Amino acid sequence: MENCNLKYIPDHLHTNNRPIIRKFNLGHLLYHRAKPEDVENPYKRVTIAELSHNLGGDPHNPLSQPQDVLFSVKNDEVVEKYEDREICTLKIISLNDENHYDKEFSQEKNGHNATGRIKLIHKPVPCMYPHCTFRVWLNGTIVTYDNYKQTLKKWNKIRTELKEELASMMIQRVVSQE
Amino acid sequence: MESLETLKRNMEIMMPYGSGSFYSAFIESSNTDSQSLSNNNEISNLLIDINNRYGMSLTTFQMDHIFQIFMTFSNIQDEIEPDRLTSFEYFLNEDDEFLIYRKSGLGLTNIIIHDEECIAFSFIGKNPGERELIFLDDDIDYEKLAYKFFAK
Repeated sequence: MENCNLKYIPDHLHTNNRPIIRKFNLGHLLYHRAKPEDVENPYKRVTIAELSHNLGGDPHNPLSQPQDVLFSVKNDEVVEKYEDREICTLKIISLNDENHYDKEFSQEKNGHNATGRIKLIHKPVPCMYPHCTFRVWLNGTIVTYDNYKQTLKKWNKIRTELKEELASMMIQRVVSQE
Repeated sequence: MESLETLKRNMEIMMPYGSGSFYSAFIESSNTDSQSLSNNNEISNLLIDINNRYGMSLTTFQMDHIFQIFMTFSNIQDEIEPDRLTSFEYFLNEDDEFLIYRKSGLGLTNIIIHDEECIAFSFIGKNPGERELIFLDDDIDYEKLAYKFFAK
């Protein structure tokens, strides 16, 4: 992975060839930056594809601080920090046997079946090692901004189940496999 | 406020062919008695606002359900605390889902009207695990849905 070349990003957030975290732990924290109006009712604007969070990790030995999630890590953005955003702190309260948050939802429609899947993955970028996303698949295909209309947009129930997951995280401030 | 006939005429002009049942039912229901006419005035204000905001973006499926839900809100208004009855908002999001929602000290309630196929009821409480998501396909009991919407 290339090095971080944004001077305003603190060194402890640089990835610097650190390994990908394969398992999560109960009690660890995630931070998400959101517009206040998005938190009020996440159903209004929540983005299902690749929703970014920072892994705070163990509160006693943190990987990142809450305000770190406000940093812009894109080279082409003018702002260094999204000062107008709210920080949502989520606590991981349950995981599956593999220490993952990983859920599936199915729908049958006009004789066709589809399965949506949402999974928390660690996805470090050069200037933000703690970066994680809630990755979504539809029938095994990763849902992105580009293919959204051809995938999830067509499956109302799966889309709503996924939104319900993300909305409940933002309101209840927990990540739960239950 | 616009008269019901003006509302009907304007909306028929603006809406796609085939959406007339929504307004026919609306106008028929307005010709009952003074009590329901009063209720319909409130409903018509809501419908005018929705039409002004979202107009052509709504499907016939959505308009029919919006009408049924608001009519039911009106019909049960004597049973609901006035503060609760006026506490809801609505929004059409980028997924073409029409949301009727309210937030209380107990949590967030949404009625999600998709562009086709089904509607959904969602309640997300403030405590972990406290939530309910129900999909409603056919034979929807709007009264039960309305009471659930205002319950928390």
